[in-house]
Amino acid sequence: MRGIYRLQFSMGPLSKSPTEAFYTVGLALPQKLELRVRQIKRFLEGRGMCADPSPAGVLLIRCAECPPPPVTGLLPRRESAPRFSGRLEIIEPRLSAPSTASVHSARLWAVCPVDMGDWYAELREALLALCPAEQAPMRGDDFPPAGAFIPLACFGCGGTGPDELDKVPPPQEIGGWRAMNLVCRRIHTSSERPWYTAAYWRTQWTRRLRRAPAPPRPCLGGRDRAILIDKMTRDYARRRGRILAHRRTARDCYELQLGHSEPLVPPPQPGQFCAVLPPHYPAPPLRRPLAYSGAEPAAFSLIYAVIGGVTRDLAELRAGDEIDWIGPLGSPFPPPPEGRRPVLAAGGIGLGPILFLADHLARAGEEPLMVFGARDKVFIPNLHPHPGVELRLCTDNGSAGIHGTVLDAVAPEEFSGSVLYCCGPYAMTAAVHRAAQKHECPCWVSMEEVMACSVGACQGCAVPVVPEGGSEGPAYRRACLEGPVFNSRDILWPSQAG
Amino acid sequence: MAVAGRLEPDLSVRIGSRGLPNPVGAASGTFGFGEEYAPLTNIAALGAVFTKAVTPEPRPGNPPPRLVETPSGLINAIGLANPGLEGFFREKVPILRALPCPAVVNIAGDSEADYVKVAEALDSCDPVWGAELNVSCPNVDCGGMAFGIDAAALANLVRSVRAVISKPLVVKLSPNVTDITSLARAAADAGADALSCVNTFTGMKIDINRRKPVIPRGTGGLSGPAVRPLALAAVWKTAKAVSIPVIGLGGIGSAEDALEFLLAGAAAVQVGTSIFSDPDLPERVLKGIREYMQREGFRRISDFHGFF
Repeated sequence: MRGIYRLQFSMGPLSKSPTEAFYTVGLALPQKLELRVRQIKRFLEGRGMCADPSPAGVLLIRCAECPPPPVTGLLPRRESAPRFSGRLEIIEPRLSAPSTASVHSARLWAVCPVDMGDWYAELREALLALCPAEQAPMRGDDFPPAGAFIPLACFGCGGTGPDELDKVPPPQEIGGWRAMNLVCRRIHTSSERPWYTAAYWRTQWTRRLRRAPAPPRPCLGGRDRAILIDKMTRDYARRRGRILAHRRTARDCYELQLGHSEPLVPPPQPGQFCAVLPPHYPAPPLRRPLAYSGAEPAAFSLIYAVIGGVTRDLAELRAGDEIDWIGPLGSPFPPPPEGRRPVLAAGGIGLGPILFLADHLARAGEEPLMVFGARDKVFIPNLHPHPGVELRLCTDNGSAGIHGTVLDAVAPEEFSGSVLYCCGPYAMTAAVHRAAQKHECPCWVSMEEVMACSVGACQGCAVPVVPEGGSEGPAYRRACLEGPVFNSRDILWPSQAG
Repeated sequence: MAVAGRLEPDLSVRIGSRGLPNPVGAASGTFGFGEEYAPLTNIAALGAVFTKAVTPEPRPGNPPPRLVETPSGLINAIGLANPGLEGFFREKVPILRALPCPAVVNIAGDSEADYVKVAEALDSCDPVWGAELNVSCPNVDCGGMAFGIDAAALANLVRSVRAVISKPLVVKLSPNVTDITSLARAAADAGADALSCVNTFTGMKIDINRRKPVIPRGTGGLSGPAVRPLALAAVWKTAKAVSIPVIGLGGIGSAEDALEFLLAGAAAVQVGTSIFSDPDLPERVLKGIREYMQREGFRRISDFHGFF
């Protein structure tokens, strides 16, 4: 967890005029600073000002003014120092979930400065200025070094509805700032104290955004990304819902559609999963992780194969029956790097998340190539992906599509300039990783592991990874929390393990 | 507010010099340090969180697979994966500080010095309510378990740790012994404030297609409803043998199960494996205990004891 810091902004009550609103500034500090953060809090409280060092190390300070926007009336101005002198309100640290919380979400346009070095220094000064030198609980050099964090900043588009988004001028690259689409989730813990957890990093950029010239995107590896998805922003919950539809799509293969009791915004992303309670719980006693194969705010679907007792019990459920699940869990597939064509490989029950990703990418304007491999044609369901998806099928026995593996279905020249996404049996995933290495293209794989808690507490779903620089001995990551999607480079494959 | 005619029972539990608000805790290893369950359940309703074990040095844990499901049970061989004492202070203490319930930190190590080192550090760490000595982890090669099966070694260890910690000290006993009462007495005589009874049972599962054990180490620790009758018997025997409080655990999956443990002599219970699937279980168990006490006219937890 070391070496990655995040600076993150979410904003207070949405208002037509950003400068009139109260802004909440979230500064994610490295863990070693947390004790200091406590001191800062005491200091601020002693002066009638309050800040919240939350358990995840996010220092939230509310201030009346936000850095004034330089262009289009919306972007923070880099040449003027941000003022953090306004009224500060306490926002209580909370670990227990606000059970009666109502969730409201609004889309915001956001800018992501590629280099926030100067601006960051200004923020640092502003924070230090809050604490007089003699009582300063922080030293300047204790701050994360500029450039070592992944910066995020967001600003209001006015209004609260998604329609407002279209009224915002198209984002442009302005002096190293790049725009992206974020979703901000607001939790009402009480009527007078709205609390914004965080801005969500949205993996779906709009097509309009894609056309905007973009500087090189920071390449985030699996571990970095896991840190990006701050614990405070996780919104998994235990949920119950009714089966909307349930059908057999191929031999031993079923598709289950479930409804959310209340809309889930943002909806689960491709690569994420939910942990489904066995229909006859407590026998067997563990939940089963199943990847989403499609999701929208009000409903989602799962594709599963009948391979054991629990899936057999699931297959007997009918529309209208209730299911209990925890979700959405895990980190999603990251978006493809600019200029690389997504090539998606699915094998067997890895179909669900890959199909979801293919549709998702196609809707975002990509032209993904999706390859699905099965043992025999009887295991291949009727697939109706988005028209933008190029679909190829292959079988081990040649009964349908190409006779061979998913790698046989992709021409060598199609690998170059591509980004690979893979979900399937371990052997296939390893083969796709080797192909990615050979052709030097990025590769994201979804790892399947037995899970007990599925939220990161039990450490049971360990995936061996390449130890970080210099460290010795084995290293593991949790498939449920840092995964299930990993950069294939990070995984310790058997050949490397010796 | 107590309903007229129905007294609100006293649910608090006294362990050593301090009290727990209620007798239902989350068992070590199943609840991490609490943060992962914050979105899933009301942590403030817990009597205590017994954390994942902390060792002086960071440990990556065992190679996968670490888990295998068995009939009504779960075999695990996590291997004490934890960030080490330094990592604990850096990453976990801030979380414990924000935890709205007492945190009992589980200690593990290879040698007496390891236990003493962690215990010493915990004693001066404010957010830590107490310590639980893990002398019963079946999933590591050396230490740990060695103390859990030898009464003399256990007594020495408890005495050494007792000398450096003034906070409540709980010893978590292993069921993988011939006579759990001799170890229980040894720990109690050496100064333990309470006993957690019991850790997992050594178990095994073999993959008949690969002709190898599913868990690379061969065996792991079995928990879940499968072990409940075994754990209950161990709690009953232990509670009869010692005068300090016994915290019962092993396969509790409902309020009725917890009531069985309390009637067997436990002063408190921990919910473990069932939390994975049912994160709200501790709260429901507590509600069930309260209702039972009101119905039966019990005023305090000790009213459960002495029926047989």
